[in-house]
Amino acid sequence: MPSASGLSRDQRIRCRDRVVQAARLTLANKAHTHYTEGAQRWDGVTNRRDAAIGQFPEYSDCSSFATWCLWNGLVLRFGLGDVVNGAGWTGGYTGTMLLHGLPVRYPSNALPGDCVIYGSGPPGVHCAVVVDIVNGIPMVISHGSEPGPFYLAYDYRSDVLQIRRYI
Amino acid sequence: MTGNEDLRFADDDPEYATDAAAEIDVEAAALEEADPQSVPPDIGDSGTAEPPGGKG
Repeated sequence: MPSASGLSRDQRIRCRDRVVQAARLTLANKAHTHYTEGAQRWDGVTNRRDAAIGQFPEYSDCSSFATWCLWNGLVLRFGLGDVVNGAGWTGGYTGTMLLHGLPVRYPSNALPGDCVIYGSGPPGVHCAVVVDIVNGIPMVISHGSEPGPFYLAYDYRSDVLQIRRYI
Repeated sequence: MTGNEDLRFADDDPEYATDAAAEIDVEAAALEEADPQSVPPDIGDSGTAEPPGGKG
């Protein structure tokens, strides 16, 4: 099966590492990153914040944060097109994220770099990035409010809609 | 989970399902899990795919 990104197996390993690095960097700097659904939410991609050199978004919401994390691996490392939102890396939200990538059927198969999308149905209302698996439980970094982001079990909310893979 | 209308799942292929997970070299330092009860409610997604600057 071709991967969602078209990357090879070895490339996907490196890509996942970059995505997790970006998410963890932002978590470590939560005091300096802000939640907004306003025009600044695409700050991370627009201003080409590179987590590999310690840069993170000053402003984002859940979907722009998740997209920026993936962009670090998919674009800055491999120069790929927008396989997350299909918008040329200029926009997106959970609705467009649900239209791209591939769903993961079983949570036990989730991998770092996958995204969890929440809501009662499409287009979804929230999303988070899987950063590791602890005792078989996918753990996410979720940026859903100004005090965030937070590190949580993927099912910290009861409305898990899908896990999707873009890498 | 709901909404899995797609016919193709990433984990239908056993190799892609696990995708060399053991070789993924993510940062090893443990993170402190937040208490879900103490986390503020998620505000939610913007609900639109507008380009930068398109939504105030």
